[in-house]
Amino acid sequence: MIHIEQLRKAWPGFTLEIEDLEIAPGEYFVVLGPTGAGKTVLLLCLAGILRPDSGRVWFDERNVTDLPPEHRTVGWVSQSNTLFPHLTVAQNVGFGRRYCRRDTGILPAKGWHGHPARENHGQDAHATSFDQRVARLSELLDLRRLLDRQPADLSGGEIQRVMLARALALEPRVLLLDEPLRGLDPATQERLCGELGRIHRELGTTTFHITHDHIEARALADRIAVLRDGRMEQIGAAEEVFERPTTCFVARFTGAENLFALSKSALSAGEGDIQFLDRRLLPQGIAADDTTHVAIRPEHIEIRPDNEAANAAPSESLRLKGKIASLAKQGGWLRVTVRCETTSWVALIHPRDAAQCCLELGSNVIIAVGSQHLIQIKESPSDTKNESLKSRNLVS
Amino acid sequence: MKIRRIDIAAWAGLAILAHVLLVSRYVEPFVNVAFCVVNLYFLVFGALLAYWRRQAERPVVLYMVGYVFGYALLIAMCFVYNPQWQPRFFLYAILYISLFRLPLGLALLWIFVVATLVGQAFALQVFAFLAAVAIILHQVYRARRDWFVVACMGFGALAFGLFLFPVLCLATTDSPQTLLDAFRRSEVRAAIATSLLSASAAAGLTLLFGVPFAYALARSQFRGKALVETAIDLPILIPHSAVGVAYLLLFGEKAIWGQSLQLSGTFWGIVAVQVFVSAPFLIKTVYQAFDAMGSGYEMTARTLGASPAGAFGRVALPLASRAILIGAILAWSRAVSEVGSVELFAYYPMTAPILIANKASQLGIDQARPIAVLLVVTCLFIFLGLHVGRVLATRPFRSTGKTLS
Repeated sequence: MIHIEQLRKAWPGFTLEIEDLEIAPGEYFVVLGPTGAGKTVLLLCLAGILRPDSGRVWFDERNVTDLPPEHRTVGWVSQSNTLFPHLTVAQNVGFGRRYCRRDTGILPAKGWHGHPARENHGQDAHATSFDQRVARLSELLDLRRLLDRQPADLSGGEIQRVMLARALALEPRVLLLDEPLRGLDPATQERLCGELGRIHRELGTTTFHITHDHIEARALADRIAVLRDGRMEQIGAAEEVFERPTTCFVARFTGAENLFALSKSALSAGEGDIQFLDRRLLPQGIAADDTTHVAIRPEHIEIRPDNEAANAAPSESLRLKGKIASLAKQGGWLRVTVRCETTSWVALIHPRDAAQCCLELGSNVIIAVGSQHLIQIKESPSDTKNESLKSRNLVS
Repeated sequence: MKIRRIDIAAWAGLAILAHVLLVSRYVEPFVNVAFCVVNLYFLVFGALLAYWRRQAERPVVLYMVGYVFGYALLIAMCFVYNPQWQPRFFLYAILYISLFRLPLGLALLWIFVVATLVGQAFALQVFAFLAAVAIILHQVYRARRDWFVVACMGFGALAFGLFLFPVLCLATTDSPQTLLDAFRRSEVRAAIATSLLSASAAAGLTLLFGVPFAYALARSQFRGKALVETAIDLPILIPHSAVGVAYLLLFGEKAIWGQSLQLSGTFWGIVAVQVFVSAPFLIKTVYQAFDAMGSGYEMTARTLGASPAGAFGRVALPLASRAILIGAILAWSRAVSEVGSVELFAYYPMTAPILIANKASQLGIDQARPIAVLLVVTCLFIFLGLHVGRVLATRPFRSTGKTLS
């Protein structure tokens, strides 16, 4: 569907370079990255609003690199509110009606997955089918009672839904979402997140979504690309990125907060910084060389009272004694920081489990991690920026 | 201060005694009795005030001080200016007592007193001006309860009003009869018509090229952009007589393009210099509107299929419509008031400002005044009409205030 080749866009102090990126038809593709990583630039290049310095963008078999946005048939939901303030919601959503007959010059648009009758329509029926799409979208996104309102009278969530409907009304070949959940309250975020997923299932539109929130990415994505300083760190299926991050940056950015460097001396001596990684407990395959890290997602860490230490299950590969340093509520979960001698660990505990083992500030506990949850990351030594990442957790 | 009935009685007795002593010497008996009654009314109201304010000291003291001070002022002025002002004492006393609990009413009363004392022949204008300021200040205070803002507003409005004040006096001096007489003269009518027509033509021309230019300027980046932006402001800076000379240099009767274009001394010559002096006002206003809007709206329109021209026409133009109208009104106003360059470059056909200058220098200010009043009133009406029309015509949409980088 979309194919990006050797794309490069540079400003003083920032360069976006994408070697090769392919997005399949109907795929929900999420680009995850921190602020300033170049996500929006990439998206604007796809929309045709920015022109890359070099490289090519293909939509299907056509090179669209030099095509202006009006000939690309993309749906763009931008970061800020761009509902036209002088038009009503209905006029906003119907803005593209007069252009729906246009000859885009690209390949004929494919029928919607949920709307096969569309393919039987002739050229003349474009306007009618546009109206039908708008009607269907307003039903899908629950916009009926908003249609006569002015954009200034809408709430944040409503604005996003209207922008989404407006972008989808022209049956875009690709839907570009620029942090669509930003600035909304958590309840609305959750609801809109669900709606995005539902719309994608219903309409099957190829979607390119950028965000800095790994929870959002995990909820929606088929595939994820992690972008950092203008470069792709990792591209892969959503679960793969979360379960097997290839770099420390990806691990940390996707929420694997417990990240430790393994060092040879520590392993062999069984003491020092990471003395808890007793060789006996190391799972097979984790080799101790200078550039190996281990990442553990906080939800995979179990916490038990110290007194149960005797009857430990044999499957656990790692057990450590520690003291609870802080407790904080995070959503419905409890975020526990445990200090084990020189290292500190973050665990997300379900409140039900927390009640069972009576977690209190300063109490002695044992943390346990199943061996399957230890994520090994091998990183080339040239990547110096990760030094700061590991040192933050180890030397604190 | 605890106020008891015995105090009131004592004060009332004192007041009566004072009036009895006064009667033989200065004032007529009837007037004196009336004054005595008013003063007793004052005392009773003071007691009531103390009771309403739960014996609070400050309002009562303020009340007494204001009464005595206003009174003293009137008496002093009475001796200085006009002994026939006695009835005003009654008016002041009674109104003061009744209005004391209404701050705005009290302020207006005071303004009335000051206006009649200071304003003399222009008392009504002074009162209207100061009253308007007072009403605005009252609203500002009620909305914000912030003395600093009120002080800034008061200072600014008074200073600004002082400069506007002569025009207010001018516009309200002549009787309608004089104005009508002036308007019957054909040269006056022709001059005013020339003024209005040429200014409208100039504003129209400025709109025609100014809006696209402002849009292009707001949407493009090029080396020397700052220079171009400065150049737009130049007409405001350059003395307008110099503009006239510059135009004569090229389009004067014997200059290189003067013979073929025939601009100097014609209607279109007036329009040409008016466009020059008024264009910056429109271009700047519209440029700022397009700039502040950002390109996000247009880019969205383009992803929805609109061409660049379509995005401009369907999105950017409606969103900037207010600024465009304001800019056009500003440009029109500037054009209609232009004298310096027109005087040099196209003295005939005479515009109204030139006719005024002409009459004032040749026949004296009394001949020029009715024409000036006519022009001011006409322009004021058109100006207000345009603004009212703008408010009515522009659809009331609220900008969301967010723009895309």
